Amino acid sequence: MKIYSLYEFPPDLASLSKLISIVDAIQPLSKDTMREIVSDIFGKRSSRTEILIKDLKKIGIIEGNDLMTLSWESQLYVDLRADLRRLLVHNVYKINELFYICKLICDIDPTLELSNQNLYKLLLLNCSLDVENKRTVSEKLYAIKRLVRLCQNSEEVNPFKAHEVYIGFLRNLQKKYIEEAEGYAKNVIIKNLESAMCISGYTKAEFNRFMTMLYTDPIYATYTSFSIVNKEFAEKGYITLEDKDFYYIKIKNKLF
Amino acid sequence: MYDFEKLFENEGDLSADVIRRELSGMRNTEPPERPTFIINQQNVKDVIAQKFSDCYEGFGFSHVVLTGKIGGGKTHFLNWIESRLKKQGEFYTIKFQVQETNIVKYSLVRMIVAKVFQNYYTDFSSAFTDFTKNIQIEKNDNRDVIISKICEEFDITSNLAILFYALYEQNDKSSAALRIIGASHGRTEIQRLKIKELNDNDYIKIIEMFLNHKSRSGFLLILLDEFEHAFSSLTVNARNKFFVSYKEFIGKAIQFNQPSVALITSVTEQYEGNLESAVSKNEQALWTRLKPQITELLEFNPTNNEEFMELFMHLSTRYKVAYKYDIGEDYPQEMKKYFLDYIGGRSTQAISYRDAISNMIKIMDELRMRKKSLGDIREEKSKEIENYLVLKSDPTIKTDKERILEEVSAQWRDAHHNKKPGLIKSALEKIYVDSNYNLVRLKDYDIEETSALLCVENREKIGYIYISTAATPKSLADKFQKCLDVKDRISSKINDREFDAIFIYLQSAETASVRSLFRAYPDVKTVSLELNELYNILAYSRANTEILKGNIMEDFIMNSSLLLIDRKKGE
Repeated sequence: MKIYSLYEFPPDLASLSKLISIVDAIQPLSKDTMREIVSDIFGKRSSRTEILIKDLKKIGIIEGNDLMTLSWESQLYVDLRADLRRLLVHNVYKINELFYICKLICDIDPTLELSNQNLYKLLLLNCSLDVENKRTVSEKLYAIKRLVRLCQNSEEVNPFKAHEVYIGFLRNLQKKYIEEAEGYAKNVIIKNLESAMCISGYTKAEFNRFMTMLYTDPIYATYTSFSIVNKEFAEKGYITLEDKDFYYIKIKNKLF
Repeated sequence: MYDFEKLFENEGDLSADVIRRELSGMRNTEPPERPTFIINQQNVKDVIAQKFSDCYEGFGFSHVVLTGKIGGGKTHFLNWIESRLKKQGEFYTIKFQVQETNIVKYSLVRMIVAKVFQNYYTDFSSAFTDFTKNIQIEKNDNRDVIISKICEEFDITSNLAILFYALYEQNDKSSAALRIIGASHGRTEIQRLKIKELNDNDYIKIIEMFLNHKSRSGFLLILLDEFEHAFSSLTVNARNKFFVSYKEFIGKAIQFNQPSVALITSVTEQYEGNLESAVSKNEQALWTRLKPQITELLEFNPTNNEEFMELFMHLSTRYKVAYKYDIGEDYPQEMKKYFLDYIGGRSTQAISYRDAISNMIKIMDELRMRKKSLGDIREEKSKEIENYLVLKSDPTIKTDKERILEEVSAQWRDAHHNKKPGLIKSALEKIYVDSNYNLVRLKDYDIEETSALLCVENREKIGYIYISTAATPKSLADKFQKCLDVKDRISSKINDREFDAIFIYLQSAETASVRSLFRAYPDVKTVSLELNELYNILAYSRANTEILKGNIMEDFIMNSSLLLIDRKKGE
């Protein structure tokens, strides 16, 4: 496996968010305008600007060739004014090799202080990477480290691992849901799912935390619907997410 | 022949009055009585249209249980169907809620009969009058014989037969009999006819007979709204009665001679789990009949572009008609931002149509009040961005020369001090090559090549150039000393050619004492560089066209010493 070929990435969330909001306001926009904006915000020479645009497309932030727009996911995040970190992790998760490297980098060097060359040596030790030209690797790692740094925050040193655990939860949840509902788009009592998930090893607190993540997840929440019933019918009790009580969950389509 | 394919076609001819009433209902989260549009829900539309069409063709009794969230559009659907079929004039439509059945002791079938009797009195009475008129009766038989013959012929109870006989006789008891048949009677009528109260089976028979003798060609449509009230509003006893009559009705309706009757029951999904447990606990048979008929209304997905677009277009068109106000149909994306913000902006899960519609109407009302359209808002935003771009894109107006000068000044600033002489050296090399000087290899004179040393020649002489980038006077003096050393070594090797030694340094490091040091060695020509001169030299090496090179050299006159020209001669 080769290190995923990402050569450029915005240095901070503020500049990325600025780019997204500009594109949002004037999309669809021509590639020339996109170049102008990107070079303006990131101040790169033209060949680097080109690579940055390409890489933003690769990560799924923007899309289109002659006419460029935000991707469906980015549009959703910008419309909801949601945390872009989550969008980045979500998009990275879709690219296997990139996700794998990002996760590993966080484990090897959580504070990202290692030089690219030393990091590469450790990556080689830790996984089955093909040996690559040091200069190319250095360039790729430079961009990937930027991406990793953007995704990290004080609570989540390894946001990629955390995301993987969350996705694991969703996969389990989907399985239990199907067992309970015998299909999609049926109301299932959340408390029943909670019991089933607790039997398979999750604590109630974990269940609640992950359900809150799902409820506020711009992407996966589009496949769900939460609803409440009157108290006299809520025999099993409610579950509280973001200060709201819910009784049923409906998963409309297959999540994975 | 009614075309059921067109049953759910949205209203094309919109009058301002109707729309205003519809929007006002929606604004207050009330389902409009005469809706003019239904969005999405293709599956439900297809199911209902197909069942109606079958029923119309006489293929059988149609039964649909419509479920959905609170505000999911159940009543909207019922109102739609009712208003459409009523307008058509070929059908009998009746609509009621479970709690209303209290007037008929919670019997669904009596309620159906009572409603038909009230809504379609003329048709109802003529159906039964005509029917009784045609009963074959032997004039000589006495009353009891006639009644027993009616019982036998029509397979009905004697109570019902007495009523038919009363109708047949057309006497003073006839109207009381018709009211009992129409389930709209009191105790007086019962006493008058001297019969016992009719039971549900009698009324089912009455429904069947009405269907057999009705004058309209269409079917009888029963719309039962808010079925869930059977659990929440009725006592256990009443609920059981209601369930039993429901079960009996659908059990018999499928066996009707003329099965031209359709029943749509709506039930809120929040009770779905309870519907199953409550109904199946008491009436397992009823539950097994309801379950296969359940058709579910889908919720509104705010993030689904098509669904969002459909709702947005319907409402914006209606605003145009109702208030002559153009919301800006071309900017659904702007509406989406407002919308997501309005509904909480945290989650993207599905919501009820009622919430979706009332929120979008709120936004439209707000914009209408501010006399703004989505287009205006979008334009304001793009203007902001455009202004930003114009301001920021100033550098593109800069000449190439200015751009290069900026780049080299940044390069100089950021360069490591060890690299700085090299930058000047390579720039000078380029200038010399372009000016037809030859570069001389220092190795030829046994001198090591460094980034501070440069040697060039023209036809007349050889020039040895020492480049200092020292920033302090002391270090400048040191460099000058080194320059002298190298000069001595070179001059010892060059015998036959004229030779110039040139010392380039940054003017910023120059002091009076350094100048006096320089004066002590007049055989070394010193050239001080101001920062702008330095930048011009560096910029030259980056210029990729002759015009640009020319432009750069316009502002910069190469020091004559550097051109290996003696001042005296030059002058």
